[in-house]
Amino acid sequence: MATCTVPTIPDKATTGDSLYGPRACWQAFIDWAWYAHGFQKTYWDDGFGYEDCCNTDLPLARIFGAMWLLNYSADDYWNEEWSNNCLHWARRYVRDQINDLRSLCGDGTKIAWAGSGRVELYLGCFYQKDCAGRAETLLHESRHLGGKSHDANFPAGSVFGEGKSGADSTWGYEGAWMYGALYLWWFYADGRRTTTALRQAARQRANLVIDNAFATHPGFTIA
Amino acid sequence: MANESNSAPSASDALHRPERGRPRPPDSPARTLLGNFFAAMSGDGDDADDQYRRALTDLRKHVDLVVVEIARSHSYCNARDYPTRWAHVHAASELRHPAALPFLRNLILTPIPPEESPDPHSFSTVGEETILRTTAVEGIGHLAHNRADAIEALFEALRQPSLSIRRAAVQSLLASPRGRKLRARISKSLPEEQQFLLDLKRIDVRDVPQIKNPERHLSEAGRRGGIAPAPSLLGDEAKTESGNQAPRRKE
Repeated sequence: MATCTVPTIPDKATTGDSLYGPRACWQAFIDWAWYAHGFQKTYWDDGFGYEDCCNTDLPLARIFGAMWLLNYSADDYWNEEWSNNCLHWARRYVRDQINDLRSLCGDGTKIAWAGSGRVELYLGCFYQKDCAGRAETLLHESRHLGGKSHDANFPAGSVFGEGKSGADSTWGYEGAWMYGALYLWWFYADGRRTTTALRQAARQRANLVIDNAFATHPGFTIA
Repeated sequence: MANESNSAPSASDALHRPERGRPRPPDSPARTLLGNFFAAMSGDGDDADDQYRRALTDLRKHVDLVVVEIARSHSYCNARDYPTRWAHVHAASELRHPAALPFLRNLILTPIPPEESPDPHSFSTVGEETILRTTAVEGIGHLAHNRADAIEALFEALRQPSLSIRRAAVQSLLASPRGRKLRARISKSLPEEQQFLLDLKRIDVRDVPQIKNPERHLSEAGRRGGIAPAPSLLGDEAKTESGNQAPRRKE
């Protein structure tokens, strides 16, 4: 068992926690999210938020906020048919894939890990990413659970480490990076119940992924 | 169904909350305006966009003071607090005023510190620093429509050793009124292997290849799914299970 400390908490207005935190502090939603994603109490108590699940200083409320964003950002969010766009079905894909969700300390920068139906989220996810970024992480890791590993090395100049493994070969590979970027892109383009600034932040992050996470640049950028 | 059992895990961690006092820049009218803008960035309700526009208008009315405050407040940020730092850069960019140019240009020309993350695939400090700078480049791009010094700042951005910064600068230059005439100069400023940046398409998400039938990308267990969608926003009763009860919100 590791022990860690809550790092500097970014301004909650800029991360969306002041917007999504109160929305997610809704018992019916908490009940649903808890079971739909297989939260394990053992991994969310001892300071991670189980005892204070609406406190957005703590990991649990911060992931609940991201899940609220993931579930309600499409105008007609109830229309989650696979034939619809990613903004609609991402929530369905995530809850179908994750059946064991845990929070752990990590090393302060690690974001997440996925395997065997389980996703582990680390402090970096809760405190280095905004709400949309955390939602993207859930989708990215879910794609790994869906059986798609990264298949390439990062290209020259990549911020993720030139020449290191962990990239996707192409956009058409339909890997975890594509899933994440596509979700952020849709959130920017058509996200509802959110703000202009949060959508702009999503656009910047999606462009970073498009530029740096594919061995072959997809050849487009977000208008 | 998820979480059918809640057997003891192999290891769980504990998280402590430190008592800390964050250094804050001194209060000032400009700081109040900036704080109002940050709050409006996360505004709620039907008038959230109006709140945001009003807060931005107030910033623009006092642009000279606000630019100084943005720079000062940004310098107080924890270097790793990227969301808060991004909010400052976003504010400076949204001013769309030449007074913001020195702050934005200075950020772009500040070398990106070496990667601090042992696993940049998971989290990259270089990536976060890059997002700050691409946002700044686009802020300068707004000024490049009628200012030669903004155009020159974008060419300075092209000299930064970052694909994303160069991509943002190329896009901003090409979008300026002189974009077509600048194309040859942009080309000369780019290394051979990055000439493709000139031909990137700025497109709408509806025009990129989507994922056809993502259901086929579910694992076998995922296909069994069967978990109900989130409750409607009007509120439905959610099912609960014994043994792993969801936490209770504080009244």
